[in-house]
This record gives sequence, C-alpha cells and structure tokens, in this order.
Amino acid sequence: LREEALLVRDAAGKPLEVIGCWTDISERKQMEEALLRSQRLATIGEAAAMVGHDLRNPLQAIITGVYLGRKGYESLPPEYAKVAEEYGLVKWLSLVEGEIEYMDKIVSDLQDYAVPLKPDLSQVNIAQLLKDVLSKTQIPSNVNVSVHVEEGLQLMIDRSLMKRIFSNLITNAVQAMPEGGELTVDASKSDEEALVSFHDTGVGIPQEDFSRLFNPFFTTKAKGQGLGLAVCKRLVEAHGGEITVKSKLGEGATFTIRLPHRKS
Amino acid sequence: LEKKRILIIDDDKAVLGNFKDILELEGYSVDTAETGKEAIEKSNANFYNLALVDIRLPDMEGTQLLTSMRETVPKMVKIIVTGYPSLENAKEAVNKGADGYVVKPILNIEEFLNTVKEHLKKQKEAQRYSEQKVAEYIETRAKEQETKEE
Repeated sequence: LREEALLVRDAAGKPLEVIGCWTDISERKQMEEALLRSQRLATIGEAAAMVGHDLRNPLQAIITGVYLGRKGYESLPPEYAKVAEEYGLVKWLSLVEGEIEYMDKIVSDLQDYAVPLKPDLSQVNIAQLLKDVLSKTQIPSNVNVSVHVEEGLQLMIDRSLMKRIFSNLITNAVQAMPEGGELTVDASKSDEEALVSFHDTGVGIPQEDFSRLFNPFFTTKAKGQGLGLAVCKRLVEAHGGEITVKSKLGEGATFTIRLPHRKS
Repeated sequence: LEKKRILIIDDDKAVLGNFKDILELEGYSVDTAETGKEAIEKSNANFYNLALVDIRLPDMEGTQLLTSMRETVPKMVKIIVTGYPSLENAKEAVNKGADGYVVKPILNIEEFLNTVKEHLKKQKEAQRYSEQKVAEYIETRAKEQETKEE
C-alpha cells in the first residue's frame, strides 16, 4: 500500500483537516519486479553468449590436440604403445574425449540460451527425429524406452532446435533414473495443437522447485549448469508453444511440449 | 603426385597450429594466415586448392574476405568456419562465395577431414571436366578447319 496525506489549513494557517489516500500498488510493484527480473536475465544471457563463444576456440584447440595425441599413440611402434597404455595414456585420452563432449554441450547450451532465435520451420517427421536423438543419446541398459508417435506425424518445426529440446529432455529423464526405469515418449496432434510428452519413472521433482525449474542456472544436479530446461523453454516458446511439468517426489516426472498446430 | 595445398585463416594460434598438423598428417601442404590481410597476400602470391576461413578475423569479417577471394581466386574451394552457427550466417557465407560451412568447435575431426577430401575431389572432377570440354572444343574446331581446307 502507498500512503499519502494532505494537511489542509485555513487562511491563517491553522490546520483544518487531513486528507488521506491509500493506493494498492501491488500490480505496479509486480510489474517493476518482472521488469528487473527480465533485465537481469537479459544481462545473464549476454554474459552466457560471450562465455559460450569465447570457449569455442580453446575447446577447438583441446579437441584437435587430443586428436593429434591419439594419432601419435596409434603410430607408435607396438613396444612403445604398450608402455604408453601401461602408463594410462589411452585411458586419459578417452577421459578427455568424453569430457570434451560434455564441454561442447555446455557451450551449445550457453549459446542456445543467449542468441536471438528465429526458427526455420519445415515439415519434420517426429518419429524419425526422436529416433535420431535416441540413437545419439547414451541410454543405460537398465532404462527401457518406449516411443508412441501418431502414425505419419509431421510438424512444422525447426528441426535442429527441436532436436536440442528432445535431447535435453531425454537426457534429463535418463539422469532422473539412476536405478533404472521406464522412459515413455508420446506424440500426437489435434486440430489446434501438437503434444509431445516425456514421462520418466525417476526420482521426481519436489513441489517447491516447480517455480524455478525453467529458470536459467537453477539445478539440483551435482554436475550441471541449470541451462537445459531454460534452453528448452526458450526454444519451445520460440515455436509459439509452451512446456509444462507434472511430477511428484518419488513418482517420476512428465514434461509436455504443446505446439500450435501449423498446417504449412 | 603433387600435394594439395590448403590455407588456414584463423587468429587463434593454437587452433591454427593443430589444424596445420592434422592436415599435414593427411598429406596436404598447409599454409596459415592470422589476419584477412595476410590471407589475401598469400592467396594472391601462391596457389591453394582450398581455404578454411574463420568467420571472425581481427581485421575483417570472414565473409568480407570471402567476397575479396571470390574475385581474385574464384577456383579455390572456400570453407567458412564459424563459432556463431545460425541460418543467417550460413546464408550470408554461401551468398558471398563459400563452398562449405562448418561449426566450431569441430568435434568429429574424421568427418571434417572427409568434408575437405570431398570438396577437393569435386574440384578435381570440375577441373577434369573443363579440360575435357576445352579439348573437345579444340578438336571440333580443328576438324571444321580441315573440312574447310578440303
């Protein structure tokens, strides 16, 4: 509440009355806070883009350096190769190669979060896109994946952006099931909208985290930047759609993408 | 067999050095340039089959360099390397004369080497085709001349 008071005096300056006014400014306060929040997120976005881009060159130098290291190892005479292996050289090379992929994902997430988005829409076969993403995602043997896509489902989407959304949601689902479980992907469309949902039987999400789940840099993972879902939200919204979550602690989670149904 | 010649243009010394080593391991003869100006000078003075052009250079945009090299060395294959992947970027690069477009960091080096190899193969085929056309043209003209003289 905003309080204002006005003291009214007579001609001699003697106080006559006080006029008070109380205004409800909750809406204005909320708008100011929202503006501040969006300005803060825009600054974070710019910093993220800069960091993402600046990491590309050193990352490229590491990738090419490791490649040359492996080539060097492969060209060693057998007796030297054996010694190199005994000293752990091959193990270290593989370790760095694995970490490079992870670093590349961080760099891509930072840039996806920050760059202005202009989806390049085309008709994409959803079953095929899911197949491509699943083939490139490491699924542990204790996780069963079932995919149910409406026959011949094609959507007007940006193929590479949607690929990143699917990839992030599938990776999250797998990571939510450290003891194994079921990942079910459903995709269908009606006259108004298309729905793609990812349901896992993992650890679930506590209610108190729901409001922050799609915020950048919010994470509950020990190893994560908290950009995956923020990126998903941004990319889905760039398609004019929305992403929602339903979950109960210990009972898994379902992330649903709603996209407007564009005919062409 | 004569080695294919490649020019790498990038302002990051580590990236430049490593790509030079990788391409040399594949049997290419590699030269490097750290600025657009150096790239223009080198491509005017020497013949290169292919150039890898970073999109951001200290003295000019890679696309500006593409325009300039399209005029001076039109037959050289130009592959743009960018850390700013976007559709606009790709369109601009192709419109300004890029033959290929790769995104930095290049994770799969083998795939990248195959791209380079494919471009050089296409260049060789195009060259062979134009030589054949020239030979056919000369042959036809010679025959026409012979017929006239008879």
